Amino acid sequence: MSGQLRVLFVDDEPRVLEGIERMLFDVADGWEIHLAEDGDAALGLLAQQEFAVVISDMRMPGMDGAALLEQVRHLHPATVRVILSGQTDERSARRALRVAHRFLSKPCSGANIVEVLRRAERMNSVIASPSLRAAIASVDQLPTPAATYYELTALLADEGASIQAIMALVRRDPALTAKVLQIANSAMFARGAAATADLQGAVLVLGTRLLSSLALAEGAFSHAGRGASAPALAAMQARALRAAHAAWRLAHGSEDREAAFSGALLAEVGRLLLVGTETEREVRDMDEVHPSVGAYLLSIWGLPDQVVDAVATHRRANLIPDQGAWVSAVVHTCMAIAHGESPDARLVRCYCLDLSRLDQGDA
Amino acid sequence: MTDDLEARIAHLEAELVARGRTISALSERVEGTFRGGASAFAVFEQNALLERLVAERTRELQAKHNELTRALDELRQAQAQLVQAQKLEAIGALAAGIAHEINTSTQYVSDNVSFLRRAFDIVLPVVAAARGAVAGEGQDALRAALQHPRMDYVLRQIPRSLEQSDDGLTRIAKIVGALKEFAHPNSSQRELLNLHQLVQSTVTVARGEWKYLAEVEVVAEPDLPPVLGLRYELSQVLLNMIVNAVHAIADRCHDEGAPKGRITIGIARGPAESVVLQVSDTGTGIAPEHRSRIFDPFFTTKPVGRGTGQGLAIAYDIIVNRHHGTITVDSEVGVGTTFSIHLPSSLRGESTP
Repeated sequence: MSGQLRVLFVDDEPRVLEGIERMLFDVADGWEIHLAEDGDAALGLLAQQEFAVVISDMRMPGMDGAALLEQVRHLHPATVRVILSGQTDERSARRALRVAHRFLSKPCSGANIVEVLRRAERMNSVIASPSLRAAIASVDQLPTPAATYYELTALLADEGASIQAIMALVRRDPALTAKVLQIANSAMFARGAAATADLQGAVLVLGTRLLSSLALAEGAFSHAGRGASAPALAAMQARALRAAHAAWRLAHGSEDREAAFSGALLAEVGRLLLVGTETEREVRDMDEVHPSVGAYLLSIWGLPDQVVDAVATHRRANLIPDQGAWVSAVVHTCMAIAHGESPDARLVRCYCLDLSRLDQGDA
Repeated sequence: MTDDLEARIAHLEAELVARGRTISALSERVEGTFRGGASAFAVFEQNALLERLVAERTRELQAKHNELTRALDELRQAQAQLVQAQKLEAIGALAAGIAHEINTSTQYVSDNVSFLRRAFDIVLPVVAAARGAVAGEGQDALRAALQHPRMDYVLRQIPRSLEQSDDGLTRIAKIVGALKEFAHPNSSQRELLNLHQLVQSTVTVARGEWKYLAEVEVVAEPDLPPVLGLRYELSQVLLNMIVNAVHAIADRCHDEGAPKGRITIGIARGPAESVVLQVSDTGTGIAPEHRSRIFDPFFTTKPVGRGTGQGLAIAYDIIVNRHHGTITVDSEVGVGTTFSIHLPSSLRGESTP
């Protein structure tokens, strides 16, 4: 059953616009596809109606994609912003990464474009409530994840990526490097071995999916750093690491281990982004609101559905069914422990979570 | 490094001239002495001395000549390397534009194909049902197939989508084909060249550069004689000219806020069986004080990072030295610039390369 979704595609090559419109002709009944051939036309359309998503080419005469999305960010903060680029020199790519939620390269398969739109559609229903919409719109701008996260994701998607290239990327971000080394050295991974200052070893130990999540978390924390008080931020970081650590142990042997780790690490990203904003003062129940905000953001940033769902439900056990949501169950359990609370008994029972693993030394 | 070599060559040439003068002076002395009527022995002595001197000077001259030849060879090698590096630099700068063109075309061709598969899932059942109806199976299946809610849309879009996909594939083939002029490594084989085609390929490859800034028009006379020349070198020259024209127009657009500029490339028969190639732009124009220096190596008025200033010097070398042609410029500040290249056609006997 399709929901409502209003989407705007912007490209200076009319054949691209026609091709995309045709490609989407039978995908979803409730989707409204609008087309614009330049930035000014796009802004004109955006001023008339609310759009859920804008997908723009980068190279256009006059206002390029980055300049357009910069304006969209300012004028329509709740609209998801995506770049669909034909080829971009490095400098332009950096500008684009600062203002876009997703960065796609041409030729982009119809399936990928549909995936982006489906996620937006799904999240649209999540933020149906006005208080939530207000919460998201009140964040200064819908933040874009750290450029490192994007580049890392793109690099990791390329199967030929060398460990050197990955390391070079991590090294460029000192906060991330420190975090990678810290976690690799923590009891979670070190197994009593000597502490390593070797980034390559750390990267190999953590694996690529964890690396992406760490990059995202770093980006979110540095963004929040502007509005949060230092103790509050430190408390959140400590909680995130404790929960992630617990999830890693609890999920030992499961193929969804990394999803569980990521979900726990990023569970409070919504709170991070609301901290210090107007909404934090106004919203009576931050605990109610921030999981959905976090889930929304992670979804448009392209994280796996399991992680998104886990974040959305991590404070509401009653939203998690008895089966089929293993990652959500693990994340809920570990976040409870990180808050110093008892895990939900039903979840522990239904998903056979072995809590004794958490007491053991190194798993 | 080239500066050094040039300095050395200049120095050697000066020394040769000096040696030449020495020899003239010695010859005059010989003449003078002989006419002066000195004794036979004195003359003999003088001659012997002079012969020795001449022999020495000759040896020195020979050595200087060898040095000069070596220096010239080094210079030629350095220039060949620079041509190669410049070619890669020019193409490298175009790579993003070329990739963009190809990726964009691929995007809509793929999207159209994706549409067409589903469109035919709607249309082909109509054909099957029609066959059935003709075979006497009744019209119910046909009526049902025809009533698909998106039938009208699909029927309208199928021809457009095929036409646009055709366009896209043609574009891709054109760019890839044009790149062949530039992809081959430095070959010194002369060929009979169709200049019109060479110009078209270069314009295609450079499209990413001029697309937003200028209109480009190629005007070629029919039945042009072929030119015997070096394909990759001449493409290089053309590419440089076009990129320079685009930059000049961009500068003018930036200064004056003017709309798109114009680049006109003309190919015509010239005097004495030559072919004349003209590249005109409506850019900033070249200031009179710079005009005499534009073909100098490393001369550039562009900011750092925008080219090495080698383009026109290399163009000059390629046209004048390696093709025995001429290259001249006509320009007016605030109006534009025209480069004129004369190339001897192959119909005139080709002198040694």
